Amino acid sequence: MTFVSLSFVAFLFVGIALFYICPVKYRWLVLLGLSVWFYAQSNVAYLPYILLSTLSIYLSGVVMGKFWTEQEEKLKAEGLSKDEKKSIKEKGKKKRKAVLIAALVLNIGILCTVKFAKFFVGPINSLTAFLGGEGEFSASSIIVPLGISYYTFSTVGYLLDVYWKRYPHENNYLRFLLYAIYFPHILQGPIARYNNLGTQLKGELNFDLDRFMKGVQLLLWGYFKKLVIADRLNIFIDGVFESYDSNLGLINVIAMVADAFYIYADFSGCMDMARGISDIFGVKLELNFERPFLATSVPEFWRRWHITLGAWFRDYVYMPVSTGAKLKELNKKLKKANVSKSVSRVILVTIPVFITWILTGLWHGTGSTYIVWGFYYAILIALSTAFSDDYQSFLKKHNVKTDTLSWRILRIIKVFCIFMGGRILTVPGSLSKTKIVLQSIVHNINPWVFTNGTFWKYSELDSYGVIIAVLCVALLIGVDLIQEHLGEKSLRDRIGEENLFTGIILTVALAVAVFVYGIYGSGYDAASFVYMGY
Amino acid sequence: MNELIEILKSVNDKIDYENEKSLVTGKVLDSIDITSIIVELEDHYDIEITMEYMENENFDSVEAMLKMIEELQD
Repeated sequence: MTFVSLSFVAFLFVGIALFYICPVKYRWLVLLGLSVWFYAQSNVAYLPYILLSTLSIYLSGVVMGKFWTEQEEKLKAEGLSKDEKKSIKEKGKKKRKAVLIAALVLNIGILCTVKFAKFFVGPINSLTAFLGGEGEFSASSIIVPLGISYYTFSTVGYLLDVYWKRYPHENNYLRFLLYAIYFPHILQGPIARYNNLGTQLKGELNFDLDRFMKGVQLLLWGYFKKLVIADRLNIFIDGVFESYDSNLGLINVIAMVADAFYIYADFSGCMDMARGISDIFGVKLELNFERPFLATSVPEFWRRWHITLGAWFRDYVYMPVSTGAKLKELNKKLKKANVSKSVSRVILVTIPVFITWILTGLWHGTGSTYIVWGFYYAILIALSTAFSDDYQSFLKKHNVKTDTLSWRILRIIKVFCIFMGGRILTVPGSLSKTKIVLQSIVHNINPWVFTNGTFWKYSELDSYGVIIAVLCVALLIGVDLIQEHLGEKSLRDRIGEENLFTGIILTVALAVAVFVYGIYGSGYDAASFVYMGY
Repeated sequence: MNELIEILKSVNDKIDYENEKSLVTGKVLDSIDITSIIVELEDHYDIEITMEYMENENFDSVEAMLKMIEELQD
């Protein structure tokens, strides 16, 4: 069951009714019941995985919490020398580390097994045959639990935070399970932090009409992005990329631009739905997109796109690596060897950036295309971070005016092109197909595709569909520009400041637009969300 | 305080450490600056800055860093 199905709409109506009928004290239990039911609807076989993961991490958190308390009690003793205190801390750390490693091996092990198992199917079958065994192990028999990457990252983040004592551990398993399985975020995130979502789910979940209405508006806007924009663009993109015709030329460029808006509308649309649904239940989920196509540099783009994943990798991979013992040692060696500051900077940036981005690539997919994708961004971000000072000095020296609108637009276009470059590495499905697409762009620039009928030969969207798609993308950009101008205040807050009538008209218009222009109907299945498979 | 400011200036001398109160949250320091600061502080004060202290608020100002150093020396 995805957010774009009639059964989900029915589930949501029943869920809202049950939630608000129930006394405030027990509403979190209703959410837990709804979430388990929602998850089990996809496949009951997924449940043991999430139960095992959450239980192992919950218990590890409890044990680590106990070790922390024990250590603090020991440190309270009077008259302890500095060395004695150090020894108590080291012993405590050793015990906590053992628990942490065991839990990480189990949970990251499960994640890697289900994600990478397909690569081991061949060797396992060969080995079985060699040993005289019968029966073949098939990749399709491997269960990949829904949202495993999301809940594993959320719960592992909690475990590391407890290990580092950023906040206390949770004492109630059911509350912890709700944090992991909470149905608005289990499909595609956002990757939640326990001190945010867990705390909210523990608080009083009261009815608030304003928040409820804004949640409905955000949910409808998410449906609009998904059903009207993304699924429409997807028809065009599929038609073009599936042909892999080396004569497509400019049509491939148009498909790449369309693909950038498609993935944005699809993923951010799902996030708007998740946040809107959660708002209806009085729980605020973290923002996952902040107008990424208005970013003026690659690092800024990744602070605006899939924000919670980027923040996760920053806090739990990049920072521990860049401030870890190995890099500290390297930093000292570079200093001793009198290596210049700028060279040291390049070395110290490159290592954690490459580790982080190769892992980010593997998170997105397991094929070689994703490793190349990881390298692509690692190189760009390492260069951008290591030489940012030199680049600024160069601009200053050559009197380049950087505070102008035209300069900003140029930088936005540059980032957009880089994003398209990253997508073209993975979307066609293999690097050889990527090569065909790129070759056709370079060797076959044909500006007459619109007038000589070539465009319509490959476009599975008719002229009406293309006009709707172009207008909707323009609307998407317009909304982003308005939101950028509003800053902290959301567009929904701004609409709320107008009279009630305006708010109602806009909400109804959005709902009508989804019904009239959405891509669905008999014989059409709304395409699954792109990020749902992770 | 002055001793700490001298150490910080050895890492990045373009920053007004006396008056800047949001060194990390205001993105005045980047991650490489923070790594270098950690190395210098650990060396100079004979402390170990572990991940539990890697919070923005501990590096946002000279006062916050001093407080963290005192805690770690305890």
